[in-house]
Amino acid sequence: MSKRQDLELLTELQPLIPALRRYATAMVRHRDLADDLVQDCLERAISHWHTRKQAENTRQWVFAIAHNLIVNRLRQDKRRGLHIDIADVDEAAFASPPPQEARVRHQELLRAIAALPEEQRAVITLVSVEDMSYAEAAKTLDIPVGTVMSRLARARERLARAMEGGMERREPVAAPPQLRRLK
Amino acid sequence: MNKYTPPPVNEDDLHAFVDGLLDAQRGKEVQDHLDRHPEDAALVSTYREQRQWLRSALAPVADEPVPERLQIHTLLARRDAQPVWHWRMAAAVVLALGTGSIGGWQMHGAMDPAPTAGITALAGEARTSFTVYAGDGPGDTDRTALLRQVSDKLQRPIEIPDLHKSGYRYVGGRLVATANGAGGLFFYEGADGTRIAMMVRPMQVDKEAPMMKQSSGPVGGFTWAAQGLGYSVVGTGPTDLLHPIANEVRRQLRNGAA
Repeated sequence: MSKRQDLELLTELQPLIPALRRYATAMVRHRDLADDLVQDCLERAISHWHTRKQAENTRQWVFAIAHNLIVNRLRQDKRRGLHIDIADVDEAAFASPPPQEARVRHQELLRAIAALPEEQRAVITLVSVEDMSYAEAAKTLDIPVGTVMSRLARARERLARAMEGGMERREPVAAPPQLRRLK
Repeated sequence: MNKYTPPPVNEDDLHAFVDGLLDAQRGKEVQDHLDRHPEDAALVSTYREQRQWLRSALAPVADEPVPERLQIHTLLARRDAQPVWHWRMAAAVVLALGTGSIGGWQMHGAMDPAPTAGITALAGEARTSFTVYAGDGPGDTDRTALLRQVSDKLQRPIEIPDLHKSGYRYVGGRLVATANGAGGLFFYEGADGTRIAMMVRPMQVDKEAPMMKQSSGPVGGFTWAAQGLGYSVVGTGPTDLLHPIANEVRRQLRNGAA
């Protein structure tokens, strides 16, 4: 292993670790498991670093590795009959005690996010939290941009509906007819 | 008149507006649309709020210091110490042994490079043997006879690594008894008289295991397994000083076996 490559790893991979931990935590909602997956991801990124194309976006490449590991893990757990009950969401995983008056709403949001299908959770997290463009998210998840858009829209609608659930009764949020997606 | 008419605002535009992904021109057009469509403005404000909540809920994870085990320098040191697949193999052994007794969320603990029974036991045996015999003089100094004896007992050809380049010379060794069968214990001395030892014995479990650091009281060292043999390099003094020596031992044994 060359010194130059090690230097690249330190300058290009190291800065991505906080974001990788954040993404993994959002996806698996369990801090220790998230870190195990990030470790696995980093080990793979290190051992496959030479296969990364120079022109390629490193962040997207590494996030794609992380995402695949996360999804495999979630599927394995599902097969084994493990799943996180929404009531069991590890709140410490998200931490930052919100201001008292906002706590209820905060918890509702956490539950709503936990209840999203994983593919919607992936899209909304990459876009809203990791600040990826729709094209970057599409490449990371290996899906068409149109699919990113429709998953994002569904995720946001579901969250909006869930957030309104406990509060004032309103019509379910849905895109008004004139806003139907243009194909 | 050739007046520019902006394309109609669709749902994708609203999302891109929320995510700040529109160029200035389109952003302004969407803003104009929102000024005239309060129901869309309400949607945008809901989505913006979600976005803010999600970001602030997850921000602390990214703000806290990265744990040592995820630092690149740690991972590089481990990669240099052992190919990744050895680690995986060890993890697989733990998983296989753990089926039935470990389940559910505890499973993920097995993903940790935690010491496993075989290796941990060996590390303990090496420390104990070192403590018992280190003060006793070098033991059997007839290298050839000792090697034959140890190799016979272990039913494997055993080698004594040459640590001259690391500043240690071989001074002697002995056959030792452990709870897991016979082992070979080889002593080395540094220029200042510091004594260290390498222990080797066959492994029933952890036939392949990455190098790990263990210490207990004044004695510590590095232990690993390869091709069914477990090795432990132990000594007193700062345990980390033994790391390069353990690496050198492993390198020689690996080359010897190849």
